[in-house]
Amino acid sequence: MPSSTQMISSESLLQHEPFVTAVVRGLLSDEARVQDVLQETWLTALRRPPRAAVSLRAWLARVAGNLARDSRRSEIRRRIRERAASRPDGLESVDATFERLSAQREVVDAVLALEEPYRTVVLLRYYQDLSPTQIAKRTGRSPATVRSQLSRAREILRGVLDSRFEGGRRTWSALLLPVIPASPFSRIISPIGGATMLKVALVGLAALAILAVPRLLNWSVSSSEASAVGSWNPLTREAPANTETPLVSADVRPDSARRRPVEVERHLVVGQEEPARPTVRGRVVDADGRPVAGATMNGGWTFADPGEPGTVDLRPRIANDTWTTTGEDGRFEQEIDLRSLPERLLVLDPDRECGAIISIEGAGELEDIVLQPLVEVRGEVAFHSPGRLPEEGGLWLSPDSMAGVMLICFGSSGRYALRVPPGRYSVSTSNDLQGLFGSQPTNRSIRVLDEAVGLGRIEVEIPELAQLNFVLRDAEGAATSGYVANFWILDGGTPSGFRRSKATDVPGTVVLTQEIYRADQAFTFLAFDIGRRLGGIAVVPPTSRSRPIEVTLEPIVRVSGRFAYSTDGKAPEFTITYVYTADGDHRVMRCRGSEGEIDLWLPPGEWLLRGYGTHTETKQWTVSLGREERERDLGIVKLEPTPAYGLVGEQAPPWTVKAARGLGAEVQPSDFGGRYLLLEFWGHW
Amino acid sequence: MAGSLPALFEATEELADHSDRFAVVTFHAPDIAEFDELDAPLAKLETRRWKREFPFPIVLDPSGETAKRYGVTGYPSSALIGPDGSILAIGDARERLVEILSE
Repeated sequence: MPSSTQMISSESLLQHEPFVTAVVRGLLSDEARVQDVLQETWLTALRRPPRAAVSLRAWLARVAGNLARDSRRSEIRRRIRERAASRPDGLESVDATFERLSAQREVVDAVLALEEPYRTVVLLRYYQDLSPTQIAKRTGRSPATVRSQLSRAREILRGVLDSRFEGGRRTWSALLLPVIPASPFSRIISPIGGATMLKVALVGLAALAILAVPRLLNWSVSSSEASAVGSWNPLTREAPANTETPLVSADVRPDSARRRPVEVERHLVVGQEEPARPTVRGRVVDADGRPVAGATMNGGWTFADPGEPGTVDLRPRIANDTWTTTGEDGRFEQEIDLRSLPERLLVLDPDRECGAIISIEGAGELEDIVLQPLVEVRGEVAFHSPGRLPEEGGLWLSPDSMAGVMLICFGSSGRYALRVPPGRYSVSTSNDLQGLFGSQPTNRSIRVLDEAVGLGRIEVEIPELAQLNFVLRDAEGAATSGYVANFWILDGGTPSGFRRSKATDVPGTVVLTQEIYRADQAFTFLAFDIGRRLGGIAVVPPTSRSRPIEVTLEPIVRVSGRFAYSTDGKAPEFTITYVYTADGDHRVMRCRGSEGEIDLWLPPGEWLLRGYGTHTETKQWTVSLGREERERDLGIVKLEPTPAYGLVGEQAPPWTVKAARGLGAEVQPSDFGGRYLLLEFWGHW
Repeated sequence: MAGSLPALFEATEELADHSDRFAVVTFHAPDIAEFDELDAPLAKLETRRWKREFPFPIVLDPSGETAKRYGVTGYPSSALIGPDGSILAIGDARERLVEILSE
């Protein structure tokens, strides 16, 4: 271990456990995945400790946050992949994944772009998991004010996303909700950001939980989603017929040829009595029914040593505290927390030669847990990148439908081997370029039988990190210093570019690092000079990335106006305007208003504008700005109000009631006269 | 989404001192037509996510007419009706109620 890194003990990590747990719980709703991420956080801390100068607490929070993000993203990708795999055309999965990632980016953008005090309360509420009362204490505001600001922030976020996607909420909700089958959305060309984006993606993913995603009534979870797992080569985008090319001795026989069912065992309670303090009891036996003493049950991660197969111990290692251990009679008894069920466990004999993966779903006596000989799984991961290749990688096997147990194999070479209980697993990979070993689904599912299984070669595509060089010139051709960004924010002041670049020492040259996920991806950038009097647009096609991109800056046009409701001429409480290229493909700028104002700085040319406000529909129109113009007054831009706008102040409409629980079937608003009546419209999904 | 309910629980608990001044009625989205369909997912939410019983009355309107009349375009959403029967807020109703009763 390099001397510049901290020596970390288990004790020191445990001191931070409550804090890290709180961070992860704030980001993930599923307790099993929370535990997964915690386990991996400790693993990462022990394997790759932070530099000595870094605060361990802060470092752990960042690691845990990244892992939580990756866990969630991994699950989302898995669902999208499974859905795509059920289609005959593998091309669809590329687009679906890309659109979803772009949608996440939009959420991140929206959260980061929130004005104060909304940005702060959102970050404190969903990033730091503080309650409104805690936020109130921290910020010196009243809890009511905090709640009001959170509500407002959610409304803004919904509105922003409604505006950014063709089809509004229907589109972005489908993209962000992986359980909803894909719709034929228009392609969204937007890159995923770099290191900064990886950090702030946490916020975006937390925001997913707070956004009001509408349940579109005809959409439901595909019945094939849970089981449809196919193979797809990310490089060729083709779905090979045989997905399990053996390296050593593939044994993927028909089910009828198997010696024993290999699906994950699901252990249900067979006893009737339920003690006051819930416990689970059972017995671990070998394949011949003999009790196994000293068997360990572990709910976390295990991993195997990397290296060449045959030269290292491939048996699983317990990577965290053991849940329980069996006695001489093979029996065990363990108190459980019913709230954390189902508990997924890897059960291993003392020699780590045999094992089983089980799911405990209640207290009481379990059926016998039968250990099976571990099966060696070998494979090779080939990373492909136009730039730097990973120095370290890993292979993750996750029992299907049981994300709570994973077996990880780290390695510095492309070859991997580990031994796992028989079963069906989903395969993921990781690499150090993804940041702290975030997992990457591989569209691969394998059935591990009772002989060694070859995973075959798994191809992993790593996005290109391209350095784009811009040369800014004024109308006379002179090099000009300035800024380039692919999204500009003009909320009541000077334009501030998202991921704004820094000017280099070379006059007029601006360098921007851009992640490229698609070979045919085009990027659009808007550039301003230092004084922000000149502006220009550059659409960078895939073929021009290696060459300096010349942007001619021209005097900008200040575009102003004011939104108003079409019905009464009043200004909406909140408005937002987005500027797109004329073809509508690239969004380059936005402006928000609190009194309906529109204030844009744009280079000459044709632009597509989309605007909306509180309780309004979205309006879309085109403006064409001439080279001689310096100002353009759009006047009053009327927005159509939604039905909700006209309701405030009116008498409450009657209710249509088919059935009611806790109320009479004839209940109406008038039954609550004299009191405030809060109506909550919700769904159980 | 069911994820919106904990905030409602929290808000109403904070307003417990004013419980005689307000009532809460929840409307499930129209994809549920009978309570038989709701019981299983509701029980799961109560035990696994909320860790408590659902404390409010539930109204089912599979026609969606009620939600439509109240301008609901997505879930979750809320509306606040004043003591005189007029609508005070749409969308941010929960926060408005807290503000009003906390004054």
